Amino acid sequence: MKLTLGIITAAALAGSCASAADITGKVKLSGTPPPEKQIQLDATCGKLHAKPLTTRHYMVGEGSGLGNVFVYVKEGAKPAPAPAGKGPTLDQVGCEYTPYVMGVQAGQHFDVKNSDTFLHNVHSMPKVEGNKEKNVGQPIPMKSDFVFEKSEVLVRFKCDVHPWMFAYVGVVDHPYYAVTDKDGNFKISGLPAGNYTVEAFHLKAGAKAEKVTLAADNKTLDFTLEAKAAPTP
Amino acid sequence: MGRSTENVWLHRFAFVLAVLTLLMVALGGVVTTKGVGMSVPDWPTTYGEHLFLFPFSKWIGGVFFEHSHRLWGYLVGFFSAVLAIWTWARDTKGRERWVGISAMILAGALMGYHKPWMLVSVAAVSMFAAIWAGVNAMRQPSHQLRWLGVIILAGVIVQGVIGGLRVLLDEKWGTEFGVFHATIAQLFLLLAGSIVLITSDWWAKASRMFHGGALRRFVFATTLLILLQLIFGATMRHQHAGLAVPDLPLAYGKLWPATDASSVAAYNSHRIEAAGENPISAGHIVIHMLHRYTGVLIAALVIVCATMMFRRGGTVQRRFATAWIALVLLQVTLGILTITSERKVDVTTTHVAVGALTFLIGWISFLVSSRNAVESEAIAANELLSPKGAELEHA
Repeated sequence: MKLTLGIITAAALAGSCASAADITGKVKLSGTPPPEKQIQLDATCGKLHAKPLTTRHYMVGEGSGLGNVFVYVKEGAKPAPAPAGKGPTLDQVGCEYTPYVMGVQAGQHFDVKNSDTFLHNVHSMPKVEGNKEKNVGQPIPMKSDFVFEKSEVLVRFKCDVHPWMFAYVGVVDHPYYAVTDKDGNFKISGLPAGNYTVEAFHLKAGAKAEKVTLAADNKTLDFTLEAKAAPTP
Repeated sequence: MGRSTENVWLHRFAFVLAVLTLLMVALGGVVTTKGVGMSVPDWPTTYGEHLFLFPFSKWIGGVFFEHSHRLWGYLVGFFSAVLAIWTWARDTKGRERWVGISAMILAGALMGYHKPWMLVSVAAVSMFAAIWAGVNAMRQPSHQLRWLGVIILAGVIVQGVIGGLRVLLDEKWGTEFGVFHATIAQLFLLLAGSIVLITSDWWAKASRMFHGGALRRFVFATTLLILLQLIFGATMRHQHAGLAVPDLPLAYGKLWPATDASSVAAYNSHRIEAAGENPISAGHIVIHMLHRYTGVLIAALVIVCATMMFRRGGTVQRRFATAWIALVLLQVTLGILTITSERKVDVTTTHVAVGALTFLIGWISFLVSSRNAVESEAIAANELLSPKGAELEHA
């Protein structure tokens, strides 16, 4: 009996592993983005940076790859319970949020950390009903727990003490999401076979969705987003 | 007006209160321009500590401005309380005097009890007190000053609590409370300025006749339009979307920019926010454009109004007319600079403060014209009864 159950379980696991695939790809930016702005730091934060800080709206890397794009399965993925344990940490270092864009699952707890030795306040500003706005002072190095129960692409975090500090967290109700690296590359792992709509979402360059059918093989999916021309002639 | 208005020290004190109020408006302007209104997320405490005991070492970043703004509010409150007690004491006696003073001191003391429910309760009572005082001010013109003193104390309490509620209820009603708070600040400045005027030597002695009925209404209408403009400005600023239209004199290259979804998406795509501003919407653009064109209209109306005041009025009216024209031209210039400097804090804050002054001077000009109009109507009525009646004079 036990042996039968073991064989069946192993077969099921092998089957699920065999049918899980990865989607990899690159998000590129076409067009010329506006230049980033230099940030006017206050005295406390200015001491921490030898070089000027700039905004991070368009991070264009090698081969016109666009960083900080939130790529996720928009349709076709079944909602999954949030994993146990904490998700990735959103950190405040040198008066800057790191990373600028990250993803978590709905219901997944994650920490927002203050790695600086002075006050920041962490203000999350979700818009979806069911996700609670939270404003927490962090006067010393410490962590605060956050969780969003509903999917939302993207929730803005800001520091009201240092207005130039803001970051974004994408919340989806399954584990199939990624954030492009500095060269626009991404990888979404472990997708079961099926039909999906995958969306690449960038705060400035907009969003693009592609349908994809996955079987056992990994797929490559590339996106091209556009930096729109300056609206003022 | 009688005795209660003729006191040079009261006049000077009221002037100091008006200046402190204007600086308060400017400091509030800095808080909003920098987007640090929520840098202290609790109220009435500051990061859990009593307002007056918050250590200076923690006044960093936006906290410095927001906390300073709160403390300055208490300073204005203190001066308002002193003014209220002073004007009440000078115009009352016996039991009425001491009951009134006790009530004012109690209100002030309760404002030091830093629990939201207490402060909201005091504000609620203050609102009723302000309404009651307003009714009495109209019924008893000869005792108007003491009732204005009550209104100014009640007003500063209500204003402080509205500011606190803007913080506590930021999630749902932050914008609405912010706009309300900004508007009440302007009206409070008007009240302070009115007290300065009616405690002045000129007001006590003004006796010239001036056939200014139509001009008075014109000044009032222009001042009302300035109030609308201030509300447009406050609405723009408290939506925290930054500069919705970045170019001048056109708007995205047009007299009226496109506000369809695709155009707005293009504007946002090309905008580089440096302070976490909200994305702009069609509504933001519309309010911005209304603010621009209303500003031009106001400038034209003020120039016409002030020219009429200059031609028809006496020395004092000419001075206000000159100040009004100078302020509105400065304000238009500052509005242009606010856009071209991409909302540089010092320029934008000065624009807020000069806007408040322009509003104040309009109101004072209306009061001055009203003073003359009331007297002119009285003298005109006297002339009907007695052909050899009062002498006409222009001051």
